[in-house]
Amino acid sequence: MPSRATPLTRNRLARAGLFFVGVALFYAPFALAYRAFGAIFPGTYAANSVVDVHTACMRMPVGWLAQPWMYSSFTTNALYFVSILVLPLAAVAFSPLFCGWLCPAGAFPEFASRLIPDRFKFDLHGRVPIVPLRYGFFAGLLLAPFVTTSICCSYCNFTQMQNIVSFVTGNTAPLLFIGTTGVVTMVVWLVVLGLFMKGGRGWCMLLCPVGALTSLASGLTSRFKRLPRVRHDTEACASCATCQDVCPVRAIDAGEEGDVRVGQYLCNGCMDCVKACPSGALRYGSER
Amino acid sequence: MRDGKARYLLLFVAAMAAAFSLGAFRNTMGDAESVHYSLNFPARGYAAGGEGAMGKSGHVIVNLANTGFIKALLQPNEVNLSSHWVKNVGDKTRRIRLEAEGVQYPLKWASIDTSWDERTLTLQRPLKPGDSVTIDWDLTLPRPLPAADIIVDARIVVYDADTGERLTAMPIRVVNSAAAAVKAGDCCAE
Repeated sequence: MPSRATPLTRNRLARAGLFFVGVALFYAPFALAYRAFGAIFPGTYAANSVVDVHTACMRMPVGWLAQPWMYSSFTTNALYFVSILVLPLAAVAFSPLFCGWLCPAGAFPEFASRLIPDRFKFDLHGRVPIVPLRYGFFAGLLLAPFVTTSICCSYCNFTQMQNIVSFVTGNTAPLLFIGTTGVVTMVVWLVVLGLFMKGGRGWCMLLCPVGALTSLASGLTSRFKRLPRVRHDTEACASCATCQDVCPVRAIDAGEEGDVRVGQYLCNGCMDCVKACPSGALRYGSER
Repeated sequence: MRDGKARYLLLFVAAMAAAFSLGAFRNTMGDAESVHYSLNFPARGYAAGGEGAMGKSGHVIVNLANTGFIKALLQPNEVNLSSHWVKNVGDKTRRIRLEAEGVQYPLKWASIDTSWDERTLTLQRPLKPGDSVTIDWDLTLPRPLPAADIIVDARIVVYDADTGERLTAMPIRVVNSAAAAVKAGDCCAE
């Protein structure tokens, strides 16, 4: 009996499955990626630590990029290079697939937001350009230590995701200390920019420095036609705008007569648009 | 076209300002919530965070009057102190033991280091020169908070676990400047 699930549904189910893989790889009590790293490289920070999502903190290293006096911190933990080197290079080679497929902190509000009908959600698309907001905030995050103070740790959605995973797996320790900025982060990440934002990825789109850096790497290199990205074929396009509607990061502008633009500085490579396109006008690959 | 670019620039600057504003909001509770310290041992005068040292490395003041509104509502009596590092700046490899002096309220120590023994407050693995470890404090104060200017006047002391040598000590004060202000008001009213 043939499956009744549409390609889009199958794509989302695959991404939902990888959400659990991401939790298993990066979040305590599992954190299998960091356990494996510690086992392979004894004596490293990951080997000596009780591992959780902070073992390879992804936000602080991005913040340190603008603070040369912090560069020595990179020598204390090789995993700090994941967010500033590994993910951007992977994004250059394949587009930001980590964001779209493996990051639980991005996927959780996206999937949770599907429980809320669209009529209750706010959609930034078409109202305001998202790219300058995203990269303006990214620039602000880099410069904040010079102007006010660093906001990498205080407003960390990865920490909030870790708290949720810890709580769900029976560890109530995160409740022992409640911080004001932590609660603000949880509400903004999960509720305001998650549950009640079209696509559920408002935090990824606007406030995540890791997503901004990887998307920047992907966007800047998207003009190289041999590199795989989500590409659009105008001639095959039916101008139905389905792609624009299903995109969780609101990266697609669908105009008249096949004039579809994929915002490479926003796209997270989730492929929902590719799978939803009824005419096959969108595909992931090199430019033909 | 020019309008479009101006709008982009305006949004870019507005988003930057939003990031700075979040930093400013964080600053308002900087010495009350998730206070961080750096502790170097053995003590080498002020710069090393030794006894009596002032500044970011060597002396910590938690001012409960600056607690953020959400924490003040939900959990005003829990004080969390996180270390950037407890670092061996000497030239000898050492195992360290920590001790809290002058803490009269329930205190929980925590470290993500697998060799931290919470029972004996000892790091079982030796720290080579330059190596560091992170050790956090969770202090539970009574509710309602004591009406005093200085609620806790304590210090973290680092010992060599093998020789018992006292390597350094860092003063920690939990204060409530609002209590001081109330007192001042009382005084002046009288």
